[in-house]
Amino acid sequence: MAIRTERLPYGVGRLSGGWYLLMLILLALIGLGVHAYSRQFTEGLVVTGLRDIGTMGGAPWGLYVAFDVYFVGVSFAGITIAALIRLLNLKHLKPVSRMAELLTIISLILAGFSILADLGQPVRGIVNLFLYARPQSPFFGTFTLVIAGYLFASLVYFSWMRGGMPPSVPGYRALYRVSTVSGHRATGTRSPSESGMSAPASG
Amino acid sequence: MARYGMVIDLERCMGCRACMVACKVENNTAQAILWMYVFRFEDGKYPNTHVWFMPRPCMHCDNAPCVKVCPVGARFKREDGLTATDWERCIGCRYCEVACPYGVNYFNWKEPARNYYLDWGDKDLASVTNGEVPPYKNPDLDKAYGLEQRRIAGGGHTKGVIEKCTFCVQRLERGLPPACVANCPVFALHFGDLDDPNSNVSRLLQKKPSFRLLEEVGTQPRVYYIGGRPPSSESRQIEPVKARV
Repeated sequence: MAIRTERLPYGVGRLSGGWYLLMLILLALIGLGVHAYSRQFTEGLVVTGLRDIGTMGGAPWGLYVAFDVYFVGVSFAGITIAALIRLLNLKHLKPVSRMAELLTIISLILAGFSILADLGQPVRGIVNLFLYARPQSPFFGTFTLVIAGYLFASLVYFSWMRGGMPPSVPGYRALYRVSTVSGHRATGTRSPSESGMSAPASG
Repeated sequence: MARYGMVIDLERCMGCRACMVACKVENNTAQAILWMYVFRFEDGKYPNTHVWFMPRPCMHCDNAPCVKVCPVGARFKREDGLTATDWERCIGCRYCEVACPYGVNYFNWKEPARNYYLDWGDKDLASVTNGEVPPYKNPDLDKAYGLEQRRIAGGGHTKGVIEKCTFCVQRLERGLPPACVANCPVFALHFGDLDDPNSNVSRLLQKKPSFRLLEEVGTQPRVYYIGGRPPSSESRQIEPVKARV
């Protein structure tokens, strides 16, 4: 497949000095986060400053749970926008729908991560939350359902929306057939306007 | 099957906090973790003030909110009514702590071995202790108990796991009362079978009016208080605790 030579607007895809600087700052931020979490993993949740309610006079839940609620909320916004654009057939907003769906997936993954970071025993958590899951617990909804159900559904929807993805990617056909359940075939013969990559005017 | 319960006589309690010490010795809990705590309250205005003490173990509620919210079933109700914590299964989400209206759950925020009041790894201390590292660990705490054979005696003291008063299940299985009850010098704490009309707790409850903490929220606690009134919004806590790890 030929490489596209057309220029994308706003300098997207060009490797300028500013871009490298931005990436460097973001990598430093990621490194800081990894360092902070590794400290929490080895020393325990004491580094977060959370404490027990009873005689310690603290709060057992803090920013981690707030982030979980926030990210799940953001994911709802994303999937609502994507679904509305599909359902109401707003063709000129199609490029937005894909971004919104991607936002859903990413914020769901972040929600799962923030809950995992909140656990005192994260390794036990991944195993036990699926081994001994109790649907009566509200936690079941915020973690097990969100990860197992909602994230999977979002991935399926995103993959379905990305119908115009080039089938030359190895393993794509199989993945597409599995993820869409319905048995649609990835054809790759769709026009650029259908794939949502082109300018909004073409819809 | 026995239906265990505790009766606390507020008229007798003198706030010596021997129960807290007994609990610490029996269960080897770490610093700032107080499964048994004695509140010291002050009521009224000068000169008509009244100082009183209220021990607070886990209430072992029949309708326990912590059992309902546990996502993995680590907190469960035993047949004899103990609200037990399986420290091998607990994932440390602290939902039970958020749900509990009494604040009896304690989380192991850090490795408890490094949290026993003194830094036992200190070089100055090592010259005195000859490298012997306390604390003494109660071997009964690691065993599995009950019909379920689950590890509920709170002996793990594992980092990142919740724990709370167990009514000293390791002592109950041997027919002994909990450590706080056995150690109370003025017999303010009573422990026994609430179903048996001839047990000491049942007779005390028949004889005197009793109340339970936060009865209105419907948790049905198994710890009864006699000889006093529940703390009101007027009650001031003497030396409000800020035990921090």
